[in-house]
Formats: sequence, C-alpha cells, structure tokens
Amino acid sequence: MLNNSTLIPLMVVLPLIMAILVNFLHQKDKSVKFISIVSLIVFVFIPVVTLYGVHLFSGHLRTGSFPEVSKILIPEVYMGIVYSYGAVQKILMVVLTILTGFSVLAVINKKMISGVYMAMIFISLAASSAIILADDIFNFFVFTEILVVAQAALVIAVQEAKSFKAAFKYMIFGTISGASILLGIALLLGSYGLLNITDLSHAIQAGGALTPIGLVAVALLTLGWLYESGLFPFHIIKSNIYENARPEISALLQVQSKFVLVAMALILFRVFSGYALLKSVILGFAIFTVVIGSVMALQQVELRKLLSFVAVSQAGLVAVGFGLGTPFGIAAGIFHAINDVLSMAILFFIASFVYDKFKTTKLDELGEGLQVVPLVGFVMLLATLAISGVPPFNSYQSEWRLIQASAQAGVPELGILVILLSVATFVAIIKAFYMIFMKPGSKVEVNKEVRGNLTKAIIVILILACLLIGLFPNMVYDPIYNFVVSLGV
Amino acid sequence: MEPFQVGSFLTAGVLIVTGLWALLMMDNILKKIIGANLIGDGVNLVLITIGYRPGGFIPEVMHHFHATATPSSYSHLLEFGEFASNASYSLPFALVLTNIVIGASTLSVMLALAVVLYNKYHTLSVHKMFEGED
Amino acid sequence: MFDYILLFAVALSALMAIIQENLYKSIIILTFESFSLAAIFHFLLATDVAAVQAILGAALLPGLFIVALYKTTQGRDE
Repeated sequence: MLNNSTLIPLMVVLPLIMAILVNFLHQKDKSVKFISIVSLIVFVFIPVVTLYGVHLFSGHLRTGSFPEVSKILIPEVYMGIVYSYGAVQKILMVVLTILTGFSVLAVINKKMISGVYMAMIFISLAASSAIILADDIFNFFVFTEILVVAQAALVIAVQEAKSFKAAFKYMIFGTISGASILLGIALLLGSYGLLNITDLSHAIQAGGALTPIGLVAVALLTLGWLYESGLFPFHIIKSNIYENARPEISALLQVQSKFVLVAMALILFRVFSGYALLKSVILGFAIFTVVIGSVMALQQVELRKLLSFVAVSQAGLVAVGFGLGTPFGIAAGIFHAINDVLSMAILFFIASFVYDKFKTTKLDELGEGLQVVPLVGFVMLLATLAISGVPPFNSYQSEWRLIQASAQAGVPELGILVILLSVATFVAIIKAFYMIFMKPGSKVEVNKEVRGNLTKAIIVILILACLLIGLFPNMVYDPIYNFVVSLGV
Repeated sequence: MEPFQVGSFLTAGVLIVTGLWALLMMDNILKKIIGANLIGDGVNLVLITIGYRPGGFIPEVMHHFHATATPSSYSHLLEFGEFASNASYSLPFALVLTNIVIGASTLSVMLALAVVLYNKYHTLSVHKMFEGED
Repeated sequence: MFDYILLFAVALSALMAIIQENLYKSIIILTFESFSLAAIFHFLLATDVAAVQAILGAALLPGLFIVALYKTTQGRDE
C-alpha cells in the first residue's frame, strides 16, 4: 500500500484558493503580480517534492462492499474520492506547472495582467491537475467541465468577435461532450455501483464480458474524450480555440488539452481494458486526426492558424500511440505528448513574439526577420527540427519508439504514417520560418520598443530542455514505461 | 424496473433528443442555449432515476436509521442492513446536485456570450453571425 | 397517476419551448418544465435535489434568460 500523502490534493486546492484570492484583487496589479509569481514557485515546487502515493479524501479507507445488499462484484471498495500520484502523474504535473509558469510570466511581462485573467489561468491549472490526478470518474467529470469554462474564458478575454464565436462554439460542443461523459458515468454507476476507477476496472473484469449498457457507456465516454482532446470530429473547434487565444495562452491551452487526452485515455484503457474494439476505434479517429490536421496545416498562410493545426495533428499522433494498445505504444504515446508539448510551446511563444514585434502573424506580410531577431530565428529553426523528429531532439526519440511499437503491434504501416506526419509538419513549419525570417520584401514595421528578453529566455530554456530529453530519453521514458506496465493495460 | 422508472427514462430520452436537436439545428442563439439546458435536465433525470428504489424511502431523513445499537428507545429505527436494502440510492443525487450547479454556471457564461455576440452583430441568428467565415 | 402526468408535461413542455417562436413564451414554458422536473425529482425520492432544482429552475434560470433576452432584443420581437 502506498503512503497517504496530504501534499497531493494541494496541487488542486492551492491553485483554486489563489484563483479566488486574485479574483478579488481588482485593479491592484502589483499585488496580483507578486502573488502570482510566488504561488507559481510553490506550484512548481509541490509536484517535485511530493512522494508517490494516494490521497484518500476525508480518510475513508477501503471497506467491505456488503455484496449481499449492494450486488457489487468486488469484496472491497474505496468509499471516498481518491487521488493517485505515480510516475506519469509526476512528470505531467511538473511539465504542466513549469509551462503554466512560463505563460504567466509572459502575460505579466506584457502588462496585460488583471486579477480575473490570472484567476482563470489558475482555475484551468487546478482543473487540469485534478484531471491528471483523479482516480474518481465523477471528480474527473466535474473538472473537465470547469476546464471547458476556464479555457473559454481565457479565449473570451481577447475581446474580439472571432474569439467570442470560437468560445461560443467551444462551449456548445462542451455541453454535448459533458452530457455524454456524465451519461456514460451514470450507466457505469447504474450497472456496477462504483465511481472509483481502480474499483471499476476490477469490477468489470470480475463481471466478465461487457454488457450492452457497458458498450453504450464506452461509446459515450469515447465521444467525450474525442472532444476534450480535440480529435477528429472536433479538431476544427479545438484549433479555433488555439488560434483565437493569445499565443502565449495557446501555449498553455495545448499543454492542458494534450495532458487531458493522456489522462482520459488512461482512464478509458484502465476501465475497459478487456474491450478490444476500443483500441481500433481510437486508432481510427487518431489516424483521421493526423491526416486531416497535417493537410490543413499545410494550407495555412497565417502563423497562429498553422500552429493550431500542427498542435491538433500532433495530438492525433499521441492518440495513435494509445490506439496501438500495447504497453510500448501507450508509453511511447505519453512520451510523445510530453515532448510535443515542449516544442509546441516554443513555437507558440515565438508566434507571440512575432505578433508583438511585427504586429501581425500573416505570413505574406512578414519577411527579413533574421536581420532583426537572429536569435529567435535560430531557435525557431531548432524547434522545427525538434517537432518534426530530427535527432538529437526529443521528438525523434518518441517517434522512433512509436514506429517500433507499431511494428511490434503488427501494424508496421503506421510507421509510415508517423514519418509522413513528421515530413508534413516539417514542411509546414519550415515554410512559416522561411516566410517570417528569410523572405525578401517585408511589408511590416518593426516595433523597436519590444525587446522580448523574457520570451527569448523562455524559448532558449525550452529548447535546451528538448535537447536534454533528446540526449537522455531514458530519464523520462523508463518511469513512464514502468508505470504503464504496472497498470496492466 | 418499475413502469414509472421506464417512463422517466423515456422522458429523459425525449429531453436529451429535443435538446440536441435545438442545440445543433436551431438558428436562434437563445434556442441553442435552451437546448443545452434541456440536455442537462435529461441527464440529471437519468441519474435520479438510477437512484430511485420503488417503495423505498428517502435516505436523507435520518430517523429511519441508527448505526450502532438497538436499545428499546430506538426500537422504531432500522438495522443497517434493512436500511440499506430499503433506502433509495443517494450517491446519484449528490452527483446531480453538482451537475445542476455546473450547468447553471455554464449556462450563465453562454448567455453572457450571447449578449456580447448580439452587441457585435445585432442579430440572434447564428447563421448570420458565422456568415463569411472561412 | 399524477406523476405520470408530470412526466408527460415535462416532455411536452420541452418540445413546446423549442418550437415556440416567441422567446418570452418559450422561457415561461421552460420555467414550467424545470418546475415540473423538480416535482418529478420529489416523486423519485430525491427531495434535496428537488429543492435545488426548484430554486434554480423557477427563479435563477428564467431570471438569467429574461435579462439576456432584454439585453439582446430590448423587449421587442425579432
């Protein structure tokens, strides 16, 4: 039995408390700034020092399930909400909090700070942490709903007509996906009487084959998963959200939705581990997302739109890892999610810098940027190499593992898909790089006041992190692989 | 299942289908939001119906149940096993309470967005708002 | 028997709220739907949920809708 740690719920509770606090500080920007920076240091610190373990809310231990009255199929159940904290959760939490910290620093640096805006960032951080940690399917649902509202609010804060429309669409489809997740949970609760994910997976295995009600629950939860992670039928909505938020916030949003993808896919695989068709369905949607996302990315002539579609297609690649269904594939998928989140964040921060410096992100108008900002151009070139899987960067390691896993799972054709996606991503982003930094004949004015020293520091730190993971991949990959094997999916 | 449970599942189905139809097909932005509300109501009804036990009693009314002893002064109270096999299942009710609150907050954000969008475009028609978008 | 009538009323008023052209009427029908749903919750032995649903459905929700409708159409029809 793992130790019962009180630090685990603090990762969710503290951001919520800070959100409520900064929400009340209206027009006191200096104190908001101070509080945000201090609390972010704490948020990064907590996941690092917390030991692996579980937290049982209000101390409800595992107790007998009274099978003669309750008809529950397993002898012992968790009575309260449980948060579990393992290797994957630790790595995801550290990456999430650090990238949130960078986004908040960028927001503060741009003097766009306000108490409510910061509160929304903190709420989305709390919600995505809870989604990563929760071992309770209803708690997970509550925080997905909160995440949808908080992300929509972050997009609304741009105050443009397009962003209002994107947020409205996001919330409309969020209602449908929320309802379908809750219906799935209701059906599971009705047929097994359980909400805890560990207990549910045991009960479903004890009950033998999946009942028709269970099948409907799988379908409903998968629909919700597709929306939350922005896969195939909902890719347009997700990319609309990335595109209409401020770029430094998009860097945060893509981290959150990719980690929600990983967390919820792990839940699906743990609960319905005996159900083989789930893997094929996930694989199908993942392949659609990869193909459509990369084709759309190739057509774009606006930097933020292009990056949004690249982010969506890379999310599809993470889902391909899950669709393979083997421990190798799932571990490679999670590893790719972490690598991709880092390099995608660099590109979004560069988009934010370009938008500040040249006041536009339309690729036709930009040009000759390399003479103005040689460092940013150089880092963008490196980030392009990183995201399209060129050694020695990190995505190379995860894509290589994905190809290996697909060969091992008996579908070597998927390896070709991974390589094609790398090529398409490379072509799409290198085109953007050429048009921003190399193309002669710039039509934009350079804003000399924008130095962007902070953004430069952030992107250099992130590209160094990418290089570090690329050189020592086992540092991250081995704990993930051991964790996935221990889940027994 | 009791006939009343079947009937209430069917009603929940009608609510969800009506809500989905309004959400996806109707042009008026406020009708879409009404549809979102109806979907939430339908899902809540499903959850409540799962917790219903025909002929049972309300678990929150605590005078039915005493956990430990049955002295003579408590003789009208039920043993735990008897309580558990007669009370309705109250976990879904707790879930529904949470979902009602979430639904209300989502609804108010969507209504605020509808007002802002009306101020930008001076129409309630979603078709006209999203016109001319690539 | 009354509970079955309530179920029918909920389903019918949901449909009516969607079909109704006048938005004010549609909001009033929606309030009726929410309130009958609260009564159904009472019949399904969930009294606490029924109380919350009655408050939200009969007071907060129509209030929000009426404010939004007034802010958009200024009280006149489209």
